[in-house]
Amino acid sequence: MNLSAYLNPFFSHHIPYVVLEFLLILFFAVLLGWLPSFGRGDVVKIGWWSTGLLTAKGWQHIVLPALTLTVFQLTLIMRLVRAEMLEVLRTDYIKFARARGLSNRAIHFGHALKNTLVPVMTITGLQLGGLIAFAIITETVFQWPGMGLLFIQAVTFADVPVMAAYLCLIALIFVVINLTVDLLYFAVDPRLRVGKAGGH
Amino acid sequence: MLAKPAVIEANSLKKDLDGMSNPISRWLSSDVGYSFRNSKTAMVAAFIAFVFIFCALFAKWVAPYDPFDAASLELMDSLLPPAWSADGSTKYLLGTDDQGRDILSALMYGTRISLVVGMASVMLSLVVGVSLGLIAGFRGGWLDAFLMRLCDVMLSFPAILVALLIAGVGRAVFPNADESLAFGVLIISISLTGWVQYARTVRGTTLVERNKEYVQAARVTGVAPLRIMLRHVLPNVLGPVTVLATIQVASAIITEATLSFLGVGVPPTSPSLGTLIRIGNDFLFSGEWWITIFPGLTLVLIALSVNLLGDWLRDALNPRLR
Repeated sequence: MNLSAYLNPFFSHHIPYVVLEFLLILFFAVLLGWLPSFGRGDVVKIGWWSTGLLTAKGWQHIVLPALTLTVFQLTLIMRLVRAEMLEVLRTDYIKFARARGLSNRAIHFGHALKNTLVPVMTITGLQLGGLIAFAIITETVFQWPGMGLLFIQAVTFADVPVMAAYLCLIALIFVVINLTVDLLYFAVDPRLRVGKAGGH
Repeated sequence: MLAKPAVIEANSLKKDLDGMSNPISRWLSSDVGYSFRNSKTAMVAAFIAFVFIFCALFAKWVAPYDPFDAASLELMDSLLPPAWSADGSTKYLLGTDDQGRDILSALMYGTRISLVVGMASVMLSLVVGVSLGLIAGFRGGWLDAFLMRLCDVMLSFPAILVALLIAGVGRAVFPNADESLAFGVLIISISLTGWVQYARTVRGTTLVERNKEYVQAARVTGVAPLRIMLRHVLPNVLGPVTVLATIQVASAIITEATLSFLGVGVPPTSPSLGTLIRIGNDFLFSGEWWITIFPGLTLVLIALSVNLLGDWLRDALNPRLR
């Protein structure tokens, strides 16, 4: 099953992100009329925090922006997991698991998938950074009042302090994400816990 | 009396044509040309890319209307749908926008601006990236370390963010920029995100080439380091760079379109594909989908064909895959 190889050229980051968003809006919002195409919908105020996550309208409004931001992560992670799975399924312990008569399902999800996760985590962490950049476009298209919209307005009006503050915040987020990913390696891969568990 | 010069002219023209066709036929019989003839994807992609480049280059003659000529615009013809839909007119094949501009003509002129900006920024980042990568790989030491750390910093930020930042700083520095300056800032902001890839690729290959015998031989015979870099090492690192440059053209065009869409790209007086998408954005919800979808599809087709060409070139130039 080589689905990812077919999807790859069409949904990889080469396809203009803006165009994809417009196609999704045209299809789901204008032609079918299922989903709203801009704004946040109804919000609930909890103290100082106004959230759309507690209303049905808010969830409807989040579907399209979330979908567009998903697609790019999706194909990359798909390709990555596919490549890693092909590697892992060739190893001895998978053959041994098969010899023991484990079901395919148990082998694939219980044994193989876990061992593909380290590179997947690395790339996902890096992608989260790209997500922030793409969110600028998403927020402009879907008119979400977020940080990206603030930044793009700052760029339009050459508002340097806001731009600098935005970049510092983004840099901080990048560092935190990368640190988290590094720490998660130890949670996922027991081989890395050398000193503690007395591994090889 | 008149016939003779005409014959001579025809002969010399024929000779010119032979001279023109010789490199082409020679190219087609070479290794790369052979793989081109055997790859349907590459031929289709090359054809599509050629059509777009042709329409963009000769927009003035190919386009049915001049979208910048205010005198030819008719407000009565505004917001017409494409020719195949019920209300469409055969006068405007892909419909018109709110000012009665022909979408097809606007697309051709817009493609030209997108291609020019894309190519120019790729050229600039190519020159900067290749020379910095060459110096870093050849000299090594602290310069290499410094340049590579700089690359790491650039790479950890998404390209769009860096380009947006440089465009924003450009706006802050030149608040009253005229059109050509705005183009310059845009090209620089796109190319400053792209050079990192070239620098890293070239540095890697240079590190390998530097220790090969021909470089040592050149050094022993007393060739100056600059000359070794430019005449001996540079031709040997250009293979991967060619592939990268092809793919970068597509991503530069996309970056340009994204920036223009966000309103910090080309000046509004000369709309590129991204600007056209931005204009159409306002009309999407009232049902005039063609204003934004056709520029979008053009962008997709250009990016896809250039990328497919780049993929093919990568496979064709890689001896291990043959």
